[in-house]
Amino acid sequence: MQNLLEIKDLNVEYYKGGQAIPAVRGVDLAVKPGEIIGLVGESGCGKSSIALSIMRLIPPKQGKIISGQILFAGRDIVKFSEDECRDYRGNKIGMVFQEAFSSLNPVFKVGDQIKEAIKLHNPDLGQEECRQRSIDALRLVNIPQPKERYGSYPHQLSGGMQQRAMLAMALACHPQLLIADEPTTALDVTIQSQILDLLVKFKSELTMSILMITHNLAIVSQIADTVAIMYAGQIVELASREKIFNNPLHPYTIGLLNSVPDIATRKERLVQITGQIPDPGNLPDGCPFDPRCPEALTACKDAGPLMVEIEEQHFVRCFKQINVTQG
Amino acid sequence: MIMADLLEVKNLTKYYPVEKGVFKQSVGTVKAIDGVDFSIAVKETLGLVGESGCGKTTCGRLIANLLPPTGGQVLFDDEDIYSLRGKHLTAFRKKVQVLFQDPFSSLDPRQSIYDIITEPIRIHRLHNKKDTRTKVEELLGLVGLPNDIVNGYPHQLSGGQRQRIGLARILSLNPRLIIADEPVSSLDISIQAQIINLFKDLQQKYDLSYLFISHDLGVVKHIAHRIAVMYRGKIMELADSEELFARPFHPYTKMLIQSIPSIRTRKNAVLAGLEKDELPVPVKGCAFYARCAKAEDRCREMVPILEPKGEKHFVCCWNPE
Repeated sequence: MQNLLEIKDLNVEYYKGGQAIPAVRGVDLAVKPGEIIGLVGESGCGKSSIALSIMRLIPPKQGKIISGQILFAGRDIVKFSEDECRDYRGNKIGMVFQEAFSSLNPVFKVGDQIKEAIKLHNPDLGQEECRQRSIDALRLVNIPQPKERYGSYPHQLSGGMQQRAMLAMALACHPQLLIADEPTTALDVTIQSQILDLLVKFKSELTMSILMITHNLAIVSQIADTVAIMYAGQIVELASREKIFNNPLHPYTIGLLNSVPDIATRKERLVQITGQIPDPGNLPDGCPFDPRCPEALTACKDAGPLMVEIEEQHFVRCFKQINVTQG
Repeated sequence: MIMADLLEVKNLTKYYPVEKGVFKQSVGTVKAIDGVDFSIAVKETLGLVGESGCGKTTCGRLIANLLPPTGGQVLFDDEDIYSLRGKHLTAFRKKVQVLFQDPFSSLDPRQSIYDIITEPIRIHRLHNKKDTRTKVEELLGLVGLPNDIVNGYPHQLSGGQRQRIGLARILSLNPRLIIADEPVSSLDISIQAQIINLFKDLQQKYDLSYLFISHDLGVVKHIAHRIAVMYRGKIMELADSEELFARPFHPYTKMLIQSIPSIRTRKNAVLAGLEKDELPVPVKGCAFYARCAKAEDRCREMVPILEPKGEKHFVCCWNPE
């Protein structure tokens, strides 16, 4: 099946105090139609920068895409003019952010905000038709009484309802790809599970692809088909959900899985990854995980490993795994 | 291992008036905490869980004596904390400390790390200048931070390091109870595990008791000996940690446990039920009535009370199973 989105060797930098800080370092990632990809990593690993790159939303004064391609249905987003970007954003690719309340405009009715997005991308549609389509979008995300809710202001909705309204806005133009950046982090667990169910429903009913960005491994294990683990601007492991959770190979992935306080188990002591993530402005020469890695080899100090397919469709960036497979 | 009760909460209530209009006429009350009873033993961790707005933070603030209650009692070492005055109150404030969720806004950005850690020592006049320096080194060692960090400022530190500074500052007073309000919620997973382990080590070393407030049942399961589940200002279920997950009785506890995604098993349970903010506050009857799948007529009419159901297991429900 042809890939809907293909990121090739993406590099993103931010500027801080006259210095260029690498945020994304040579990321390759492909999203198939109707696939949910979970992009997991800790804060500062570059996962949100990838999302912003796809949307071409990196503020020009703060950073830029240095090199690489982002192919969406065969066309390179990186080379788009501002007009072309506007046509794609919200129309072909929708996005929802972590904090729904700060993403919604407090002085407009939620329904009108959704209508605005529809009208912008479909200038030929009449007012009444746009209104009808935004009510349909509200119904799609299971907001009760969508006709009445159309006239609500954001502050009149609960956190979960606001996030639903954001989803409705992102879905109103039937995008082929939805980028969800920590969409449930600010929500209670009961509401979180409802939103996750919604995302799975969109995937199967609308054959939409979803790029799910989160720090929560449990969420990814619930809904993702493919999982990419990021560390210090690189993808360090990429495989199907089953392989990542049943047979993790990168020491960072193993460490992460062990440090999750999971409700299915109880340990007297959580296994912890020692140390902290490296300063992105001062990365080690070798593998960025080397200073924290329990299984580091001497080779890890000198050069960063490349991404290698260890078994079928299971990619790992780790010297130890490369040595194991090569005997 | 669990010893005598350190803290006892008896029928604690906190109501806030709802005011309307220019004359602030009282038109009703919000029952933030509505008749809560529990106790915490020496060297015990009690986990307090619930969704946002259920009153768990208010409960922590009441116990720290940072808010006056509407009614009820809190006994610490058999003394009613709300009747403490003068030096007795100061002594209480030393023994009970609070650690907040957001390590970014709870440390003063203009103070150096040294000043932040030593502020409680200065206020309570515990050590002279020379001893203070040794004490700070000792505290930093305890929380696993290097000594040279003291000359820096909070903005130079990561979230995990800030939370460690918060702990070091608290430990300078040798407290007996630490009220930790979502202390690991804003931290990354690998750092979260480090801090949870640190909490456990410190408890062993200093016989500390914790009231561990969190919305994350997974975290609470790993740190708490007993867990209290709160809903709309009331405790719905209280049991040993293992017991609560193995045999939850209250429909709300079951709903919470089912909602938490696990990395071990994939669920396809779709939860019915409305969001709590969309529901009217019940005037009488069970607080959970409108969301409950097993609600009966008497649930609407009569308020259930927290009753024993099995050994050390308490449930507030008319229809537990």
